[in-house]
Amino acid sequence: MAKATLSKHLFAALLLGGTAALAWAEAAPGDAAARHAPWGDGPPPWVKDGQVDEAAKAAYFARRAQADQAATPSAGAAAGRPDADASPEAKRAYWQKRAAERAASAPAGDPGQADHAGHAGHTGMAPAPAPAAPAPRWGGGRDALLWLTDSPPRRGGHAGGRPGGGRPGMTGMAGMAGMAEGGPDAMASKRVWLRAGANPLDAHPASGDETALLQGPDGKAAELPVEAHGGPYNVTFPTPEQGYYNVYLIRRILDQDALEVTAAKAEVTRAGMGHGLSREDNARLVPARTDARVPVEIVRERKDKEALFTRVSYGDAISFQVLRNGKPVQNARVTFTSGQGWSHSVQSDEDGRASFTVIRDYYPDEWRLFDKRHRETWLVAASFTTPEAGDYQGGRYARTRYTATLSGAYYPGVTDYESYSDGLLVGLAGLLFTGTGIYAYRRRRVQPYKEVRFDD
Amino acid sequence: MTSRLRRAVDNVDLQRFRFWFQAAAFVLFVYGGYLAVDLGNSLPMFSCGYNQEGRAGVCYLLPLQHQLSRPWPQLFGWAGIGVLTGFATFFLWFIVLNKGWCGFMCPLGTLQDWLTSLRKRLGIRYSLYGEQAFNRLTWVKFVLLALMFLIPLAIGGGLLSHDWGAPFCQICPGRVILPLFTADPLQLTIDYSSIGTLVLTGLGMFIAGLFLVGAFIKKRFFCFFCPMSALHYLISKPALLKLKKDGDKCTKCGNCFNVCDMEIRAIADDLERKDIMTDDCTLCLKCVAACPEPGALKVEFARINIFQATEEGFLKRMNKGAGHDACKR
Amino acid sequence: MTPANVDTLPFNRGRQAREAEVMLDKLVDEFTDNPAAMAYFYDLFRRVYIQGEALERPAAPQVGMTCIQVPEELIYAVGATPVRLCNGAYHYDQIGADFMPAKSCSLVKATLGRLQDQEMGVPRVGKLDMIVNPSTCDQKKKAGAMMEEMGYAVHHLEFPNVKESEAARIYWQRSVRDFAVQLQKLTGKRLTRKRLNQAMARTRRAQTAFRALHNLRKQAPSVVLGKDVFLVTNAYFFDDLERWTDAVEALVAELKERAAAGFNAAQRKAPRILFTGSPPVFPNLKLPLLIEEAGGVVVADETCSANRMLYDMPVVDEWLVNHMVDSLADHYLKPCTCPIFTRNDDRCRRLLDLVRDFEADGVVYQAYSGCQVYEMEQRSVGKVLNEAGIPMLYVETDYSPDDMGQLSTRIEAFLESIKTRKRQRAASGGQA
Repeated sequence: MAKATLSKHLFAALLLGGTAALAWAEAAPGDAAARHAPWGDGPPPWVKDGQVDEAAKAAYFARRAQADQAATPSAGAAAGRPDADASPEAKRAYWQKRAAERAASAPAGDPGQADHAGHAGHTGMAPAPAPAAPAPRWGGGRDALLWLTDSPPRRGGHAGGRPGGGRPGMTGMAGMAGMAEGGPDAMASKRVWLRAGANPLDAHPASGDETALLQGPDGKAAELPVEAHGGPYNVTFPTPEQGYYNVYLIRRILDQDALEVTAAKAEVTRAGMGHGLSREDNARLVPARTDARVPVEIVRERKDKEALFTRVSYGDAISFQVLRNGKPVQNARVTFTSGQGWSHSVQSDEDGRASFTVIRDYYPDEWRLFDKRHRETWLVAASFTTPEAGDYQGGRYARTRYTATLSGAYYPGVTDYESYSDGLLVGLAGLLFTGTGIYAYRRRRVQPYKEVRFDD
Repeated sequence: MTSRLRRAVDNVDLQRFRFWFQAAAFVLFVYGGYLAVDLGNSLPMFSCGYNQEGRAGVCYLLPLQHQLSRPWPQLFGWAGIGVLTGFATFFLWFIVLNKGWCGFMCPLGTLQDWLTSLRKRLGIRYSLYGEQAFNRLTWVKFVLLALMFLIPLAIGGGLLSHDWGAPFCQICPGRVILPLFTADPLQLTIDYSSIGTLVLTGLGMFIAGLFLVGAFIKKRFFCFFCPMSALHYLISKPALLKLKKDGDKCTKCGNCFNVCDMEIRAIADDLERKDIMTDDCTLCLKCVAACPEPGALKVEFARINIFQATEEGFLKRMNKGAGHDACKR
Repeated sequence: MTPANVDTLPFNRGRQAREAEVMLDKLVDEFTDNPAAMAYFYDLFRRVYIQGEALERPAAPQVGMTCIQVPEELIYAVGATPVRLCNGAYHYDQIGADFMPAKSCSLVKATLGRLQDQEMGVPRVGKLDMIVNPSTCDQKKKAGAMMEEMGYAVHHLEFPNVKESEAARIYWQRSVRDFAVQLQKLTGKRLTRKRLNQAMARTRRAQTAFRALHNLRKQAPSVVLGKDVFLVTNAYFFDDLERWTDAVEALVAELKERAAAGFNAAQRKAPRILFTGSPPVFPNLKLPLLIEEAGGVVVADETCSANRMLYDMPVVDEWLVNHMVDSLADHYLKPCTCPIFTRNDDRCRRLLDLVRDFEADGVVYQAYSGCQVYEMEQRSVGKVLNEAGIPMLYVETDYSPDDMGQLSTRIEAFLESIKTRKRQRAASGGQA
């Protein structure tokens, strides 16, 4: 019975998701939007001694634009999409044809590699031989870092939509309009996409056919089968309740004598229903959950007093725990990458913990361009190798290499655009202005017979 | 038995009753959230939604402005139902107490009354607007109410950015001041993220400063400009709680006008109108308590007389009031 | 009225004393069943008016008032003692005639006449340190100037002659504040919150006692006669505030017992009369006396020597001096139904309200000949009462006792017509 309802939900959600994707496809903006390049650790490369060097900046962007054009596989082709009302078969055919064309035109390896090579310093993964999969995968090499995110491709990464809804400073009230933001509750759903690439700025949509694993806020597990149409991997699921929905994709690939196990995880929030949550609800919904079906996973540790709608902002300390079958993994290499490509790697401690500070890498040129709802995606990846050996799909392997990924969003914090001192100053000004005004007025009124004055 | 009860009610020390009633309401609406009290988000007074931890319910103006700023196709489609149900809930709350929500329940109103008693204790005389300024300013709340509808609608229509969202809340002193009672200073800021937020938060902080001085020196300073008060007045006809005047019994002594926090002249001078609650009234009932003419002013709930002016009650309150203050001296 | 005259005759043989004695004897002796508590007032008037005793007053400055608009609380608060100078003696009326035109108000003339005799004028209150004369009607305004000529220190309290406008209210508030400053100069005592509060408490107690007496008059059958109530309120003019209040409270207690016993102070089915117009001041109580001698009973009044003086009470929202003074000012202006104001809607409404509350059968309207404002309002008041179906008798008279016979006939006829009306109404009501 429950299963029947779930599948009904899924069906409805898929239908909705499909139309939404098509609507998005039609509305997909051109890729001309200026994108900021990753400049690694520290201030942007055109900033020297705290001063902006305009010439250096211009040159930098020119370089970046060239690199982007060369690197973006969908620069020309992405304009095309399968027909809006095409059948699943027709869509599959379309994506296979696209993949074949690309395989023919690409000089070597996967187009994703070209861009990836430019940032070899990020993950340092070795190039791999050509894929053995029967159908060429769309985007992302099989060794490229895989991760799941709820920000849609192209528009995601930066300047994305606002899937989290709400506004800083008064989140939780955004949905106070009484009804769900996106329509009646039964229709609420979320979608996650698969990306390949260690840098959220230029990671590409990736394809796949694995069944996604879902765990709802109530801990209920479900499987979300995905049809392998060869296009960007995405999966839509209903979010009837508030809370965190964990979505996993697990991919196993035999690479010479090593088994590569990648567990990509997305933690998707549905908040903003009703007007905030009670303490009890927060206490129930906020703590992180793990999934026994997943061999390796990263858990973002919650902050003190974290509520469902609490956001990660610049300057926040953010810490993760790497778990293998529910047990902390020591000495895993944990890499945190910001939305603009800044990354930092540490080894996990004996509790499997790794902590990072979320840097501020959002520097609009002008104050009026500043968007306090500017969303960036962070990506954290943990990898380690164990000497586990065995057979996989007829091949033997001597060791197992685990990679777990988790992505999330972060936004400008209130201190980036709000000033308490100025607030108090203005308040004080109001206070003094009115106070002196009234005092002066009363003084003046002490002098009698001066109320009436005529204009000449 | 009933006549004895009647007499006890009419003799009530309204000042004290109101003080404790307001204090209780203040605690309920500002701290009730900690006790998991949740009265919904359509309350007809300033139980501020920005007081996220402590609020026991949310002032209707906040969700109203949010709802109105939905995209028009939504607003005039399924979201319209949300607007209507929200308004219906607000209306149901409202008709019970009419503007008594202002005089007895509103935390911001109570806060102003506390500032007034502070000033009284310091022995500083109050200021009045005077008739001219009153007549000039009495329209402000209707203008604010209109803007409170038009700006969100303009946002929904894409004419204004979302940075102008909930415009009244942004300039309302309640947003800045009430969360401070739960040690939440998050609203004491200027938001530089856009022109809209800069203007609104700047105004908000300035008005908060103005509010503190204003309410200190002028009784119920803010209520005069309150768009909620304007909204109340527009839908007050079917309300259950009513302030009634019998012009035949009125001696026009002006006592009611004298004690009126809102300087409403009509309460003393208007002899024709039976339903004497005006747009500025907060239904604090001080006028009834200050009236020595039996039955000239009375309060009705669903047409049942629940409190009326009596000579005995008036004398009792006057002697007591003089006594209170003589002790203080 | 020369010093020789005073020396040769004992006081109680003087014309003023004889006039007062005649009136008081009638008020006391022509009625049976006078309340025992009234003895205080009868005795007071006998001593003050007939024996010419000086009143025991505090040594503080004496402030005379010529109108009810003077805020007496301020006078008490700065430690001075107020006394109301409005006089009802025909004797003084004749002396005062030297100052005013022949056809002018008896009350103004009598007041001037009494002030002529600074030492021995009755009631004897000693030297007046200040006279407060509000600028109400023309005759009083002019009288104020004449008092100055007599050598009194007169404070002309500026009073607006329109009361509806905010400008008038503000003007009057300022006028009262200025008066308070003058009073502080007079006594050298500062007007403080505490003093004013205490002064207001004293007058409030007196007003409370008056209101209790006033409300007892709603009883049917009547427990007290109008002539007694006029005596009581007249005593308020010069009596010590606390003593007066004690006496009124005693009277109220006695009347309550009477009411409980179903006592009737008047005749059975006595027509209930509302008295309005020019104020009766002892010894000129001839009109109330004639009404009650003829079998009517004055159940209420709308005059400035009684109801208008004591009925309305001030309210204070904040007990700070500024607000108390402003509240007092409002209280002396806003509910005032004096005919000197432009409009008289409030007075008409007040009359109708009193008629309703006291179940009055008719209204007697007294106007002193020469008192233009009351004479002029007769028309409009008569019209309003006529529309309400209430008979009104308009009496134009003065302090002279000469017209008593003629007035007695008119009043008897008026009361008879009321009785007839009531009988007819009862009969038709019975049939229906």
